[in-house]
Amino acid sequence: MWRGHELFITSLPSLVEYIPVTLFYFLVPTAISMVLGTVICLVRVGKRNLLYWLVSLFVSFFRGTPGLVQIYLVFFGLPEIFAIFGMNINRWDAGIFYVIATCCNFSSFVSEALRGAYGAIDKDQIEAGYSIGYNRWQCFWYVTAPLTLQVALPNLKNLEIDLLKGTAVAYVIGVVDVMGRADKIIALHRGYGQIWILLAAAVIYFLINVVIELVFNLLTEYFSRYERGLT
Amino acid sequence: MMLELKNIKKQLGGKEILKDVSLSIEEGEVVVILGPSGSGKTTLLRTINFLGPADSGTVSIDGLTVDSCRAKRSEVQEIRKKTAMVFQHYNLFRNRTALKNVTEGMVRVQKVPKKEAERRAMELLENVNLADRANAYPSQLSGGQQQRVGICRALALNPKVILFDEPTSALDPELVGEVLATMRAVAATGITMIVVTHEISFAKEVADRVLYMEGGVIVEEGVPKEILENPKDEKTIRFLSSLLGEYTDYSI
Repeated sequence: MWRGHELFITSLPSLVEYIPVTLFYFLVPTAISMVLGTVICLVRVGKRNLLYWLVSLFVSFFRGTPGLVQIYLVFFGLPEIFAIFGMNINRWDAGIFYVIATCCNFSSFVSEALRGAYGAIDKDQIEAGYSIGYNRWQCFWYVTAPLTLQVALPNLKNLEIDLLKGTAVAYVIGVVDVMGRADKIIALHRGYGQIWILLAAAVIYFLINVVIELVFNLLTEYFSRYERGLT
Repeated sequence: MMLELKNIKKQLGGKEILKDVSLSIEEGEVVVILGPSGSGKTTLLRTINFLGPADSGTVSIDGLTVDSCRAKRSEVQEIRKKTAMVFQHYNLFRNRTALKNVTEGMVRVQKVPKKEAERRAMELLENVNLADRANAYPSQLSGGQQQRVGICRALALNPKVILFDEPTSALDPELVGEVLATMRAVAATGITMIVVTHEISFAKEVADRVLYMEGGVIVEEGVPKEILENPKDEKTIRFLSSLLGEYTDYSI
């Protein structure tokens, strides 16, 4: 089973070539989910109207079912729904279905991380904002958002790391990213040296995650610059 | 008339906190509100700038009258622009330096140019001897320093009325003096002030009028000398004597 170690080195270049694809499926859902997650969070900390319950159901569903199942559901289900309205989306790139499913899933988790953080911030700060005449938008943008983000960062870091690793599942619907490429190389060699090819993919994912972790550590430091140190 | 409250009523958690309070204050007047905890002093102050709006009653400031229970968002904001508040726990923006705390309202709300706002803020900070701490974050300042920045932040807005919500009660005893001195200086500028406090000596020296509140009503009001040295109501007498340390003796 350990034969074929030369494949570790020879497969690396063609895996590295697909890092931009993996990054795409990491960054696009991140950007969309940060916005969508914030909106969901705002609804969920507000009045308990119909929208609140609908959004809660959405969050509950996408947090309570496996991501893989969600990807399949969107991949096979969405064309069916579009077909009802006479639209054919079967030719859409598989990546689009992956992004849609992942955004639903990830924004649910992001919204919960933000909601927890919002609950933890000092509401006196918001009162101070209103007392100097901020309107609601200014209070959100200048007071609530930065403080909430600061508290949520460690949690978001965990989620982002999970999201990157999650992209490896996209190959099941035919997306060719680092993992999808690895799968293809393995098939090409009929399983010969597959553990070395997988190891090469693992190293790539690990290194990307190291960078993500570094970025978040810098962000945490920046957002905590005004805290008294515990040194 | 600078500020007028009419028939202010408010319940919190099913308990009546303010029972039909009316009050009018002239321009430039310094009004001190005294009273035991739970008497509704802070609650009354917060109905004025709608941080905790009253259930019913009207608030008028500088010609703008707003009905508490039917206030539009834009009206509330207009009222807030006419007032500023100094908080018990300072409530400085913790992610902003002292200078930024002071300029924030000028720049973002009043749209004063940044340079001009900074010049004015530095002037204010200099007046309270904090010019050298302008770039410090609140966590790097003492309580007394933070509260002086809080007063600068309020003054920077050029408000019609400044509301002081127990500005010294969270401070260490040795820091109270510096904040009271600052407040005295503010009073001397002729700005209208409403001060909720337990500092009897401040009330005696600085106030134009003292209100004594208990159980959600204004029990007694008048010039400081009259209220503090010659109170008529039994409740006021009891409160003042407890402040002077004439406690009931317990045996445990």
